[in-house]
Amino acid sequence: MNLTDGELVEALLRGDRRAFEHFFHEYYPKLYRFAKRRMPQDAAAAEDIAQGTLCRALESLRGYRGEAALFTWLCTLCRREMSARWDEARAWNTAPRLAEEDPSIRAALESLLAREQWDPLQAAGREQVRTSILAALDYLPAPYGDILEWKYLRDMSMGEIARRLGRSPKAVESLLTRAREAFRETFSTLSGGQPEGELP
Amino acid sequence: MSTDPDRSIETLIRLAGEREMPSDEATARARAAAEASWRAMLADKPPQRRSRLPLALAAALTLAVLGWYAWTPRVVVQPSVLVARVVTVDGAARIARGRELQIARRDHDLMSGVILQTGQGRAAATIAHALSLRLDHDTRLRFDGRDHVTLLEGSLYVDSGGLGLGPPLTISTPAGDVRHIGTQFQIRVSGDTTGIRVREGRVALRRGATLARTVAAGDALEIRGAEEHWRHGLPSFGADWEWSAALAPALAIEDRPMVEFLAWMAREHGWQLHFGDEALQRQAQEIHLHGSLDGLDAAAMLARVALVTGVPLTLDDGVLWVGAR
Repeated sequence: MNLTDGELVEALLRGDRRAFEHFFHEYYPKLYRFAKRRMPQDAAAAEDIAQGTLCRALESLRGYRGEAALFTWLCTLCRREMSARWDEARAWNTAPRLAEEDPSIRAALESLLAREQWDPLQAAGREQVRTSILAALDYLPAPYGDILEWKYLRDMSMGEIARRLGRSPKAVESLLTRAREAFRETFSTLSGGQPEGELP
Repeated sequence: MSTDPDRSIETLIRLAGEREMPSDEATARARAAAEASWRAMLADKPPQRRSRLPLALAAALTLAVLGWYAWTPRVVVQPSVLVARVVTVDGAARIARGRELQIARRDHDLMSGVILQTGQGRAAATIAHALSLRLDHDTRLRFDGRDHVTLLEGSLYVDSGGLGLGPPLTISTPAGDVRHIGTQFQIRVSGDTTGIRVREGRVALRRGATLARTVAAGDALEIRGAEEHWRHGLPSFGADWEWSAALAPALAIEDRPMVEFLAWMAREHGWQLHFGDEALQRQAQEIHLHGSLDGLDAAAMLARVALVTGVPLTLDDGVLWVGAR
C-alpha cells in the first residue's frame, strides 16, 4: 500500500483490513526496535511494549490529528507505555539516553532538513553509528528502509524489488534514489552530523 | 576512504546489518491483540453531533431544568455503568441485581452492581474487549465499576492479554485488593481463605494503603487471616488451569496464519511453543487455516490442525512441539 499517514489512518477508521495489515507489519517491528534500543537486555519486554503501544494507538486512533508523522506519534505512545510499565523497575531510569530522545533531534527528524556536503563515513563510534543507522532506517517513510535493506543487504536486483513492491523497475530506481537521500538526511540528523572521524 | 555518498550509504547499511525482528510468537500475539483493539475501536462509534434545537426553545428548556433542579430536593443516585459483557456460558449461570435474578446469556451486558454467579455452570466475561474474566463452578463475582470487581466466592481466572496490557482492574477479596500488573492468574475465595496463583506476569495484593505482597509467575499464595502459605516454581499448565482454557473466547481461524493458532493455544494452556527447525517456523507463518474449530477440545484442535496442514503437533509435558522433536 502506498498511503500517506493521514490516508492510512482514514482507511483504518473505515475498517479497511488491508490497511490494518499494512499498519501492523509496518509499525510493530519498528516499535519493537524502538523499545529494544532502550532496554537492550530484555527482548520480551520490548515485544510486550510494542504490542501495548499498537493496541493503545488503535484504540485512540480517532485522536490522531496528523500534526506529527504517524511513527512519531507512535513513538510518543511507546515512551508513555515504557514509562508506565517501568515505574517499578530501574531499567528505564538508567537506560542510556539516545540521540532520538533529544527534542531538537526529533524535531529535526520531522522536518528532515536538507544538509549538503556531509560524508556519512565521518561519523564516529561504531556502536553509536550502528544504532543511528538502524534507527534511521526505521524513521524513513515506507518503503524506503526496506528498499535499502533489500538492495544493500540482500543484494536483490531492481527487478526483484520491483516485483516485490508491484512497481516498475524504473519507479523502483527513482524510489531508491529518494530512499538514499532520505537516509542520508535522517542518519545525519540522528548521528549529529559530526564533521570529523571515520568509521572504524 | 570513499567519497561517493551512495557508496558510503551502502557501506553504512552493510556495517549495521539487518534490523532485528521480534519473535514470530510475539508477532502473532501482537497481531491478535492489535486486531482486537482495532475492532474494539471500530465498534465504538464516534461521538454523534447533537441535533440543533432552535435557540429560543433550548434556552427555555435550560431555564426550566435549572428551575426544577434548584427547587427540587435532590437524591443522589449513582448511575449504573456498563462494566463488562458475557462472552461464554457453559451450563447455567445467573445474573443477580438486588432480588432480581435472570439467566446469563452470551452478549448480556453486565452493569455496575450486578453479580454474576455460576452454580454448576461456568461463565466468561470481557471488560473493554481486552480483559478476560472467567468464572469456575460455584463462583460469585460482583461488578462494582469499570475498574473494580469483588470476588465473593469461588475461582476467578483473569487474562489481561500481555504484560501491562488490558485496562486496570482491582479485584477485592477477603485478603485484600488484588491488582493485575500482568497477565494471567487465578484467585480462589473459599470462606475466609483466599488463594492467588499466577501463571504469567505478576499481581499485587494490597491490604489497606500498603502494598502487602507481590505474587509472581509460578507462585501461589494462600492467605487465611494472618496465616500465609507460599508455593513456588509451579507449572503454568495442568489441571488447575484447564478449566479456564475451556472458557477461552473461540479463535476464528479462517484465513489466519497457523503460527497465530499455535501461539493462541500455547498462551491459553500455558504451554511453551517449540519449532523443530526454522523451515517449519516459516512454514507455520505461511500456512493459512480455514474452517472452524468450534466445539473441539484442545487435543482435537491440535489433531485437526496437524491433519489439514501436514505439520506434526505433539504435546509433551507442557511443551507444544511443532514438527519433529
